[in-house]
Amino acid sequence: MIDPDEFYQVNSENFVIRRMGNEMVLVPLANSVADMTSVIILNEVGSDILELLEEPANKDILLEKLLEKYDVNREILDSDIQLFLKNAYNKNVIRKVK
Amino acid sequence: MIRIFLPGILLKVESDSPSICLKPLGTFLFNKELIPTEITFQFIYDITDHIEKAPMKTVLKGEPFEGVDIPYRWEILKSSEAVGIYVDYFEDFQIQELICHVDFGKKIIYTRIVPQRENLTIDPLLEPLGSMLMVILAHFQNDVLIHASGIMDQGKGRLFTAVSGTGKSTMAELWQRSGADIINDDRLWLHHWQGQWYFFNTPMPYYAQRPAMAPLHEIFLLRQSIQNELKRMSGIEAAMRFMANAIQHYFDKRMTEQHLERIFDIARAVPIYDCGFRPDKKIVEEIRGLNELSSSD
Repeated sequence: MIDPDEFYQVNSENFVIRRMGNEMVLVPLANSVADMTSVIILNEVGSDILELLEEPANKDILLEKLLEKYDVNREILDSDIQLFLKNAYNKNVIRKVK
Repeated sequence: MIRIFLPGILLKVESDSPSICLKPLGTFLFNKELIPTEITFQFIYDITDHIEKAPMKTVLKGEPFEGVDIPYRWEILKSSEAVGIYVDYFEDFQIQELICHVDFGKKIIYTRIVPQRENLTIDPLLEPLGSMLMVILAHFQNDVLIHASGIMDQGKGRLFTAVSGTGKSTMAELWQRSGADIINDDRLWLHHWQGQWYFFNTPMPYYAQRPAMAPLHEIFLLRQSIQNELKRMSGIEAAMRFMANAIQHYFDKRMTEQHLERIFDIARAVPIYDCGFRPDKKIVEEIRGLNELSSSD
């Protein structure tokens, strides 16, 4: 369960991030060198979440913003957002901010 | 002075040292331009008795793998104005080590060699310097170098890319037997010219081939298969699979951003197909059939 008081933001200095259509690609950088073997591809919803995380946001802010765009079940979307935040944090794509 | 034409780039090569005899091997055929030159570099060779890398800093480096024909280790160097290439040859009979500075502002490529003997005879694009230099120059011009074979067939330029050993050369040979021209079966230089992407062969010291180019109409991502399978791909997955075979020595964020942008540009402009194939002529006919399908739509 993701704490609603925790705010996250994208770690843009550690990745090259580019959007192509509805999808997004993240190329990790190690000492400024691109690691092309560890590229991460995000689908449309993942791309939208990451774009929202260009500014600090918690899970509830993400949920409300995404509900404006997607006509989906609130509980399912909340669960998907939490899973995304957990995975993205573990892969160092996002960081916690105060 | 020796003139070597790359896509949109002219290298004017000469030696400041009487000890260095520049003798193009495979590169001697690249003395005529296929498209107009946009940038000219002076490419100067000289002799030195020692190499000082400072103030440049090493940003990338590589070691030889077991069984390689010419063992060497390499480094990419960087300073505020220039990019450098350093090569330490372990067993070469002519060269101990070399350092090459590429000054993009002054358009000068300056290479100094620590010789193994008094007089040297070298190809101006000797390995691995030539290959590494081409990656750097291609990036500077917003182009892409890729491990791929390319053919021109009945007005269609087709590129086949894969990891080594998957069938790039086999595929090129199948097309040649079916009447197509091979542009190259190993490495291609992709250059955007007059609103379209083209692919070019590149000079190689031990590969005598005339300069050739073709418009990039279709890209095939090869894999071996028990049956022929062709599937149109799209989006980032297509772009990333294509990018996986691009040759890249990128060492800062901006370079990677630019590389991604041009890969996306190619993926938007050119159809990309996943291509599982058996090595026989049927795949040629199936790929030619793609055009009949698309023209009848």
